[in-house]
Amino acid sequence: MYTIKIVGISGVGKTTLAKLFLHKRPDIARMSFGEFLYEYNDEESAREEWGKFLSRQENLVLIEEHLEIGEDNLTDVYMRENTKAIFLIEPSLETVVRRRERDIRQRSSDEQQIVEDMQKSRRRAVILAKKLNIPLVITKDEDIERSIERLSQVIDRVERKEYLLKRQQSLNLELTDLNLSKLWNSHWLMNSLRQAITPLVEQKSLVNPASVSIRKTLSIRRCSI
Amino acid sequence: MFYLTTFDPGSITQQVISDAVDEQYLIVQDRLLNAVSSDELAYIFRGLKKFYPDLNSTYRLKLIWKNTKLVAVGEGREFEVEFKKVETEDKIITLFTEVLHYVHQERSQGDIFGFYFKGDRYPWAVETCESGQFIRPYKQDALIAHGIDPERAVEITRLYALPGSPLNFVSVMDSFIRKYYKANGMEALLTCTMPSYSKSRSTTTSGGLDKVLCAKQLKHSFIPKEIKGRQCWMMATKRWLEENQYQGEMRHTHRFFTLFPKVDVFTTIQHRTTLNPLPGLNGNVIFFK
Repeated sequence: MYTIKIVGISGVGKTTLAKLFLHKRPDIARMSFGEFLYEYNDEESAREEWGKFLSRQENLVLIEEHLEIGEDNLTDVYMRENTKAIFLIEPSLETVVRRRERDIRQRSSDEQQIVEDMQKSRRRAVILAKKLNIPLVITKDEDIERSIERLSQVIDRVERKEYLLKRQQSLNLELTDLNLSKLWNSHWLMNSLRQAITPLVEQKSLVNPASVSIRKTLSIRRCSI
Repeated sequence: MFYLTTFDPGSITQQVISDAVDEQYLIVQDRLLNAVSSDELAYIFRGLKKFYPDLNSTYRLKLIWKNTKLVAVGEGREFEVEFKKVETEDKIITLFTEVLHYVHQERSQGDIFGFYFKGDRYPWAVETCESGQFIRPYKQDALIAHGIDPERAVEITRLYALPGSPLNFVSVMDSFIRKYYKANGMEALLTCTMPSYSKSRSTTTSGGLDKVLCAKQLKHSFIPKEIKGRQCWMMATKRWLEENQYQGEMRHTHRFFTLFPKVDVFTTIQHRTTLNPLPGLNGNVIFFK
């Protein structure tokens, strides 16, 4: 199991993006810890179920997450959840305010607070990406289709890398300490044959208007070897 | 040379060599005279005649940059050279792959590039490039072992260069190709070499492709073909045999004829996959049988 985190403050459209993306890729699992909290009421039970849910997954899981709240150091959590990329949604302040004002969950639209949360979120995302050496993609796209396209590119890249890693680990290769310098200098048999062939091909010539001699033809062949 | 490897080295006499030359000569002659018109042949092999100023095997030109133009120059001669994609439907490619090349092979599945003298219809040097699934599986494994995504690797085949081509065309063409694929997000270029037949190291490593990707046991296969009432043995690649599901009679490189493995060499043009090479590769070469 490995995860890609879709992060951003409340109201930037993490869930909307993830759900729309899953129409294209229904094979990918998605979840947000907030949904577990909502379902199980207390944090302890939610964490336990969260762990169970992740342990059942075999492939990619998209996780929606806030970085502006909760503990400062999430490195261990991200490592445990095998995070391969962070996708940070960071639209304009006006967009966030507008979305929050329309939200039935009565989220704060205090502009000062929104700006501070966005900065905190970005700061934490940068630190995590650096510590874990994973890509951080920041999207400011207002257009959902473009955001889906960008997320799709990130997922393709991560999935390809995972596929290559698996293939690399399963390789069963024979290794040798082949010394190329020796190869070039010691093939007496080939040199003897070349010497024996040369006078014979010199006698040949193609009967055609181009008057191409076989010797020259062989020299072309050597160019392409 | 290839055909002689089907004999036990201890049994190769002057007569065997002479017969092999006669036989392979017949094959070359048959291909050339049946598939190419005399005009085409004259045009393509004009470099062998000593009086053409552009392609001339005696007085070869050299590629240089003059302002922003690539030109072939030498002893008062100067010709503008164009590097461009060769149209895959062009007859010239079939001519190269199926007739003129020493090994019959299928048409390239990727890009084909050529050097042209400005205004010419035919390129005088051609390289084919294939990537991803068109790279043979064992080479894909070797690339992954080296931390390179095969989808981002390009295999170059130096398909053909006409006689008398400018001296440094391989490295100039490779640098064009490198630039082209780097701009297209590719990570590595690779090419196959056969040290057994190389007369110098530069034949193999020109164009900066100087890291060993893998080595593979070299074995040639020949199938019979009757020409002018004589049975000749024509070389067939493994790919050709597989694609044509050939089940007939064959001759292979003799088990006592020691050939050096063929060696695939590569160069990294940029690193994007961020896959680490396998640690055991340090100082070792991947070997396939």
